[in-house]
Amino acid sequence: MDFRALENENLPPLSNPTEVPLPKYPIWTVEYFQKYFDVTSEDVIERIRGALIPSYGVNYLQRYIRAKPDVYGPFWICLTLVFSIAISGNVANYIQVAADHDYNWKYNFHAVSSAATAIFLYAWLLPLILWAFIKYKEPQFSLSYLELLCLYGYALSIFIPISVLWVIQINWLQWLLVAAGTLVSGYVIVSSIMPSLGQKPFAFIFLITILHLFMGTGFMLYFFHVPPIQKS
Amino acid sequence: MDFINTNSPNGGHTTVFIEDRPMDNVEGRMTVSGSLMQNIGDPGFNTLDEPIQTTIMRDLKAVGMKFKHVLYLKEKNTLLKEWDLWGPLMLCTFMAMVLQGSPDSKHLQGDGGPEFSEVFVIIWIGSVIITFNSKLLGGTISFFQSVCVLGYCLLPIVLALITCRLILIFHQTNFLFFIRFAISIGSFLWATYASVVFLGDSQPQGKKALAVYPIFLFYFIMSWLVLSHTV
Repeated sequence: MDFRALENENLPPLSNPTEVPLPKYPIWTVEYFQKYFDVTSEDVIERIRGALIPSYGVNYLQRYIRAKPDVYGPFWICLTLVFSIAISGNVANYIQVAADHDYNWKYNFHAVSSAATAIFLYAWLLPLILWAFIKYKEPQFSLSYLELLCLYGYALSIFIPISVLWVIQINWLQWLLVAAGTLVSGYVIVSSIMPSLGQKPFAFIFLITILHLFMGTGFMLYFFHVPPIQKS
Repeated sequence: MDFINTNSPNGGHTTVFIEDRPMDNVEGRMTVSGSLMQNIGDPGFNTLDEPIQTTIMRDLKAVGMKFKHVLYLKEKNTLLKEWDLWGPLMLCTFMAMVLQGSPDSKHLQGDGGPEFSEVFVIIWIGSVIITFNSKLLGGTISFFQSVCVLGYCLLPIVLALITCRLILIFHQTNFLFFIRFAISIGSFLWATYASVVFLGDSQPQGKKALAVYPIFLFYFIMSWLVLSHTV
């Protein structure tokens, strides 16, 4: 645990850290939750950039998040991803239908609800389960749920440009994008969690990696690889 | 009982005289709140005495004025100070009625579009989430002011919906699709710009982009719904 404290001191402060202790607010007020939204535009852009272009040997969580985990990023990244997947899934479907010269195309609004369920389960519920599970197995696990949520939320941001690119209906390109997306986001997640896992991290890492691969492949196959509509 | 209200032009006091009583016993100050103060100059103005038609017309005129302010963007105070939710309700109901489809895209009858309640919920929950987001970021605007502005700024998108609906009467070609696309994009930019003009000042320094982004996403989704509506 010592190296982490040392590492933090060498880094520049992310945003103006609050020296004065914040006043306590009861949980039902808006002010209570303002501490989870205490980021500036530059912070958010910096965090997204860090997740999109990870550099080798840099612990993302240490470098970008640790000072102040926020909920703004995970929430709006997930919501953007929901709609970018739903909209580009519809466009992909339209292209497939139009390629068959069958203009009887119908849009599928309900891609929004399925995408929302999948993404929010993956980015919000999975970190909670993961956190509870690791905490149960390894009591000295030091990350909080908020940090895991922040990590997963920002790591998913790479799928927003990828979901737009998935519209291009070239099979090998789609699989290449799946590989690139899961590799980059998976690296960000795994390299951030690994130092906190203690002596035997590999079972957890394996679990996280498998789930992540499953998520990336699932998005592509479910929303972008729909078989063309049968001509009646 | 006989009420005679005299509104003094500078003070805004309302003196109430009641029959058979000496006037110094009942003299007092009555403040009439909010949106009823529009005819403040008129002597003897009282909403209880006027015909219902006048009351409704006055409210409709207030809503119409706000529509005009969204389209012209000349002055900001009317929409922010005298908020109401009638305009958003009208726009939202209209959009939900026009956009509603049947969700079952597998069969020929359905068009795969959203149902009435889904459009309705997206608009209201969407503006509530955006408002909460701006409050959580430390914005200074009140809850209903923000919901009111976001609702009224749907007007360009509703106009785009009407135009697209008219275009859809004709046989569809690529050119007509391009026109619908351009109209949707234009209305999206207009709505976003208008709401940023109204709401932009209320955010703390350095967080403005964070508050504007959800608004951008919201109107983008609404324009997508307008463009995708093909049946």
